[in-house]
Amino acid sequence: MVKMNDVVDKLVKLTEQEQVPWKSTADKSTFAATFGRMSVLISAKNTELGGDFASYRLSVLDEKGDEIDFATAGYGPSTIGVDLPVLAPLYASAKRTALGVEERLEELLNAMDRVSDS
Amino acid sequence: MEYVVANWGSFVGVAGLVASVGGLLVAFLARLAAKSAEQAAREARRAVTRTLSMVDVERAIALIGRLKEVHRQRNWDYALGLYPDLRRTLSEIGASAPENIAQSYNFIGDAIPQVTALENLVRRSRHENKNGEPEDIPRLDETLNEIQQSLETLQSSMMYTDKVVGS
Repeated sequence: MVKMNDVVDKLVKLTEQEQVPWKSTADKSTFAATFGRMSVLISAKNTELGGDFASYRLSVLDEKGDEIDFATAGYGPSTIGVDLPVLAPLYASAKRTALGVEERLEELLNAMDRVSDS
Repeated sequence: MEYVVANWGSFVGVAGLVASVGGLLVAFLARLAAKSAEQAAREARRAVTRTLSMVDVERAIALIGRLKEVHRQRNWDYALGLYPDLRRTLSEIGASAPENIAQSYNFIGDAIPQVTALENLVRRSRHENKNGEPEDIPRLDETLNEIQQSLETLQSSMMYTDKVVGS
């Protein structure tokens, strides 16, 4: 589990520095990033509590796409290893990168500027 | 005769020089032959790798076609058996990438987790959704179409490389 915690820490740090190429997947609540022959998936799942309550899973995949390790965080007894305050913001950042939220917001601001200028 | 005796050392020197040059020439020719044999072996290895990759690329495209059909038929349990095959085939293509078109293989690394995510989504839907199937089926095919498009581009570039190498 020690190594997995190191992976999570490094992933959080690199994501904060916008150095992780997070991409959308067929699943709207899963995002993927590849590093050499390995890759990671981060997903969120709504819990039975509803609302904003979600559980998160970070999977490490080998070169064949098979899961070789994982960490989960959320509400409930079945979570393993990583604190919710770590995985939840990582998921949010991965989503923002994959969906290009910053670029979209910049585009929106420019469009709004054009409206206010005219 | 006296001249020969007087200059014997020179004759021996010249003979030695001729022998050395001859030896060097023989060594050079042997090295040249070994080099072209080594080059031929390398070319043969590349050709085999290229052929194997071509077979894998064709297999991956066929698997994607089959998966899209299975999605249309909503045969999700059968699809769950095909996703790992596709992941493994993509992984084999990535592993046997010929050096000269290795750049074209970058997308393979991204495609593999995409297939895993798709597979996870279908597996989860079987258990959690009321009708046992994913909510956004066209999105599954969009992912497969993107991978297929990249594979077809790769296939064309491999065929082009074959023609260049063969010509």
